[in-house]
Amino acid sequence: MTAILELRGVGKRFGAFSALRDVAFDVGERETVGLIGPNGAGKTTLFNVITGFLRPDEGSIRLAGQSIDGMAPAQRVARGLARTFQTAMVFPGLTARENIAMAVRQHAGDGLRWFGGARAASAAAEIAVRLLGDAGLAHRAETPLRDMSHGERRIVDALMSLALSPRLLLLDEPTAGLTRAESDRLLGILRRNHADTALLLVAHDIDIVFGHCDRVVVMELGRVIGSGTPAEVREDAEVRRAYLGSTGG
Amino acid sequence: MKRNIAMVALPAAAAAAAALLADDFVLRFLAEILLFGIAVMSLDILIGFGGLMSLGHAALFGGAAYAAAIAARQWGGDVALVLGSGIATGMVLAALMGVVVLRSGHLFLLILTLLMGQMVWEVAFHWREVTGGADGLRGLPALSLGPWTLSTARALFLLAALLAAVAFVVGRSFVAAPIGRALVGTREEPIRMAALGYSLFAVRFRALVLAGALAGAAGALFPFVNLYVGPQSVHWTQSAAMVIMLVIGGIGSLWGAFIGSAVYLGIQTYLSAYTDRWQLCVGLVFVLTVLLLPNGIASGLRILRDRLRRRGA
Ligand SMILES: Nc1ncnc2c1ncn2[C@@H]1O[C@H](COP(=O)(O)OP(=O)(O)OP(=O)(O)O)[C@@H](O)[C@H]1O
Ligand SMILES: [Mg+2]
Repeated sequence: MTAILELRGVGKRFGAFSALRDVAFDVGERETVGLIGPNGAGKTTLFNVITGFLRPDEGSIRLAGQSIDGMAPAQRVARGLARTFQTAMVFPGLTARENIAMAVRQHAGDGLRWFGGARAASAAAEIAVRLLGDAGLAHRAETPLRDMSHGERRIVDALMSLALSPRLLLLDEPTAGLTRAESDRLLGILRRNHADTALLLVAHDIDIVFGHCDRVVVMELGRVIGSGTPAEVREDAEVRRAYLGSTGG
Repeated sequence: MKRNIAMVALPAAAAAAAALLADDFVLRFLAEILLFGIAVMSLDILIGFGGLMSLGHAALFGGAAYAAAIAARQWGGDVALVLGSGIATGMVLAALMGVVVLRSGHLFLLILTLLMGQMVWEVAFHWREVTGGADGLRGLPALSLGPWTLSTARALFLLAALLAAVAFVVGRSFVAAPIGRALVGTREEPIRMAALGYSLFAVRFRALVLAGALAGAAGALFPFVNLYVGPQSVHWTQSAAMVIMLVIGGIGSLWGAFIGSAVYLGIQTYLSAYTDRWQLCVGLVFVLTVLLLPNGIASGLRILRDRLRRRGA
């Protein structure tokens, strides 16, 4: 299996506090990897370091075999890395269609276009409407995001990232605050569209992680304390003590 | 379609009527409104669409005015030369400003644009041999377009009206294009824009340079309408006046800029004849607009229009 993401010895300190210590694991191409761990384990911090929003103090990160250390977030996106945020991060004043079209245009290389922009814009709008339709939100295309429900916003958020056709998509608790039906719908959309996309998925809902992931990485206090197939992780004594035990699993 | 025709026909008819009926004083005054309107509209692209608060916009407008006046004194008043030097100056100043200010947070943006603007003012005020220092520049040659001399108030007004129309079309096409939508995205949620792969700097820099070009074009004609350019035109208080015009007219509407500039300059021109306290009146109008029409007079007019339409339907 070739790795799309390789983390080696990644460390991040906030003052004297080590939020990440010697984090090392791989995500394979087209693989779905779950990242679990109690609150404050460093999952979001790791996402910020991988995507370039935070600079790590140690370690190296490779995407598709190439070092991305020191690159700005936008450069990493251009190499096929996309993410969502723990709280849905959308453009509240813009319609659902325009939210997604913003991603489509950038992916098509038309994001900064002025001349000849009308054609690029209408092509992007068409793709955006199609994506919304696939997700069962066609009727909401012209609704501003601030008027949509939490669940709908989460779905639009995920669609924006999918519109970038990333090689690796990092999802930070995409199902938090969603009903069971909404979670299933969102994961269904991701699965349908991610044939070529590897997923690194943070979720607190153990059923979702064990049900949908090929492999699971467990973090605690900034460190990786275990990884393996869902079955292996379930049996791991340290993982049970640190995490699963505390949730009664 | 009907709306598009009205949008072209109404301003064109108003301009033609003004050109036929108004006297020289009023025509020069209207030309001044249009030129400031263009500058304020370009500021609206930054503030209204990009959320980029600037207190240095007069430096782009006034810097271009100086450049155009100096070029005209050197090489004559050819319109292409005057506009070209103004636009180029506006763009260069905006680009310099962008490199310095666009990597900072929003509070610093305000202060840095102000400081950059004051640096331009320092140059205008102290470089006497070129800018005339505190006295500014007078005695400019008449503008010319090929064989025609554009020295009458009517010709200057029509030129300003034409420039305003072109600037408006350019501004609208910019904000409607992907780059303009990206600018709105950077205002709404900059972190998301970065996560979508947009370079915030690239988006904002383009908007700033475009605003510099528009403000520069307007600034280039200003000395010829006003028959004078002085350091006050690049002073930060002039930048603040533009922000006030924008708020009165309506942030985010583009055409509101022209209304705001008309209201402000109207109060300044007609009330200052009676009282020194005209700025008090501007303040009052400003407060009333903010309280009653938070989105400016433009939004008030839009509400009025929709009501009339509903009644008509
Ligand atoms: N910018 C920051 N400055 C200081 N400390 C931070 C910062 N960001 C995160 N931390 C700390 O780092 C630790 C890891 O936080 P992080 O948000 O990565 O955890 P998490 O695993 O995502 O938790 P959760 O499940 O609650 O989202 C926490 O103790 C947090 O308080
Ligand atoms: Mg988190």
